[in-house]
Amino acid sequence: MGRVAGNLFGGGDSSRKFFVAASFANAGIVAGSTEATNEGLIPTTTTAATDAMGLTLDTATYSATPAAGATGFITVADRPFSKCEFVMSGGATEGTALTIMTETAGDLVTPDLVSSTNAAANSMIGGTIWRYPGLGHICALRQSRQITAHTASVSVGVTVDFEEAINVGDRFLMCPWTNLPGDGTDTSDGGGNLQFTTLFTQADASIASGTGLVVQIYDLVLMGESDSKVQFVMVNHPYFEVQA
Amino acid sequence: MSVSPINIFVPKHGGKLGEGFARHEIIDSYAYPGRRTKSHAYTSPASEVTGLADARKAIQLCEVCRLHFNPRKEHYRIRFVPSIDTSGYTASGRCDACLQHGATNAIFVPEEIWEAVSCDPQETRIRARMAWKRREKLPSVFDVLSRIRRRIAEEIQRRKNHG
Repeated sequence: MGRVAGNLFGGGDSSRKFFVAASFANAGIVAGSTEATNEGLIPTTTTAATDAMGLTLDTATYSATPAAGATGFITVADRPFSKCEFVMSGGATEGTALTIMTETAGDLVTPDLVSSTNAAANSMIGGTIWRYPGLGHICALRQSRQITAHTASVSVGVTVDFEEAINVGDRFLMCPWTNLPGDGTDTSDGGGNLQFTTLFTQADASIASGTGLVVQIYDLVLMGESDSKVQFVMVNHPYFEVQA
Repeated sequence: MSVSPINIFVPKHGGKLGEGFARHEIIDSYAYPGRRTKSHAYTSPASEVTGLADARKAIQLCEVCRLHFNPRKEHYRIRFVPSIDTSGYTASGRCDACLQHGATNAIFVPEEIWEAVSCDPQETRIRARMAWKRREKLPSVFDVLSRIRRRIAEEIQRRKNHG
């Protein structure tokens, strides 16, 4: 589930309560609104977050015929420019671990190429590859690189070599996002899109780079296969909108 | 003879009723008004907070109203958000009990979802403490080195003195 990990401008968080136009089964998901549902907030979908107000802090049940005093409402952390932090999932279902790529060829070429049959099926050019540090450990920044070449189920290439040689059996993880500024090109820009899992509680790291709802990736917490996180800022907030 | 005034409501930017409102104005209209304060439908602050706690909702309370709320009894915890210039426990918004806006409020969330919607202050403290220890470690290493250097200098001086 998502949580607020700070704000770009510092300061404390804020929250407000809003009526809902759909049920919120889980806390820690993004609440938004569309013109079609002008009665309250609704959960965003996996690939769209229109007028995303913020992350929910509790749950709510929607009813078109509520009893007296039982209209559903939900608490939302509504401060703009909040850093939303979601756990990476290795698939569309919550709790799926990232696929660990095990090197099969060794450090044969320059720039480095990680060869593994577990390289993701979707193109993650513009994403990030990092050495597997183990569960509960944070990967050092120098052990990560932006992906510049990708062949599904074969290899992942980078432009700048890793500092240490890549030996057979070395393990790596990859995701379709980067905290570096992209060039704005779809399919080669991992800094501007993200996709939620089925219940909207985690970030689907199996998608192709440059697909999903429009956000701005702020940072990556590169850890193990089930505790890595992605932080992003919502750019389609009702109180501001980033123009391309 | 008196004439009753007539109110004519005109949309801000022309057009039909309901049009011309900014997105945030439309969404602001969804805001939950809070507890009822009219005499014919009055909800006391205590009733409101108790109702929110029974429904397992997040509760925002100001510094004064917080004193009357026992989070441990209700199985609530304060939400923590790392911040560079506040304690991380403060939040701005409207107090659910007294309906006053403030910037030093606190958000209480049910224990069962606290981990999902709040950062862990202990983890943040551990990271900060480790950073502090790393900074402290360097001078201590230098202290050891300077002690060794001083011991060597004393030994050289002692040998010189004793021929």
